[in-house]
Amino acid sequence: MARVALRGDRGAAQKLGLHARQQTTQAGWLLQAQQFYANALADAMIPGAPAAYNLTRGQLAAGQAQVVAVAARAVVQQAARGAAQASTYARDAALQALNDWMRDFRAIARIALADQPQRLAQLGATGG
Amino acid sequence: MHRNGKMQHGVGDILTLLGTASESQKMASELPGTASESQKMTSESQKMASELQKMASELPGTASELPGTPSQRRVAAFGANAGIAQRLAAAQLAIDAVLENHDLQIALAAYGYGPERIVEGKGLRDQAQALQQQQRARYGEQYGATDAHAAAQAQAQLS
Repeated sequence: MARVALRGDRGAAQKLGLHARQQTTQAGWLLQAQQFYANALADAMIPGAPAAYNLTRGQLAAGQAQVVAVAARAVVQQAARGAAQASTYARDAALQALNDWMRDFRAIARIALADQPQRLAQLGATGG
Repeated sequence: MHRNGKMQHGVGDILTLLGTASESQKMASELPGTASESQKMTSESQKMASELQKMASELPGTASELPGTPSQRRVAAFGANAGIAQRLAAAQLAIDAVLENHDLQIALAAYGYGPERIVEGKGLRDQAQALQQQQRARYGEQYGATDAHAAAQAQAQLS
């Protein structure tokens, strides 16, 4: 809407970042949205144009707050992703250590209990 | 076992832990008892091995490697975690069997697997179990954070 409202005002469009193609990446979108709302609210002249399309300063401030919320959620999401990946590595390492121990344990059990197949079965060590 | 630094859990690992059908058949034939008892046991072993093979064939890897949306990954991740649960259960059964059976302890101690070594294995098993639970919790948190982020972005783009 702002792009349409400010089509004839290159200076304002430049200030609000409306001259550039709309970003599709998360980081690009955040940067553009932050630039738009920060400059629109800071410049006393520019909010007049959105007002013609029923966009008030209050609405701009609300929009800015939503962008801030998106940025905060993105940070939380990124941290959660990192923690999840780290937990997978830790889990896999622990499973590998257990697998190694079980492999040796079963090998020894097969020798120690070679004449006791029932007990080998108890240990799940019947395989060769 | 490793691909791109990540551990793969496959059919071989699970069957190594729990034994294959043919091994179970062999074991059954060695066991004392009636023929019908042996046949029954063989049948059960075959069923178990078949279920394990089916389960293992459904394991595409860890949850973090699965494609699709978060909700799709949650469904698919159940299969992968079920395989890990089987490993942990098999280890617990074997370790507990030794800890609860004096004769087994004596037999294994003669080959260097005394109580300390068995307790070490129990520690590894308990740690793996704890980290498995932690990993599932972390992925739950990640999915929650992803959903919250997507909702916030959708709200911002609507306004």
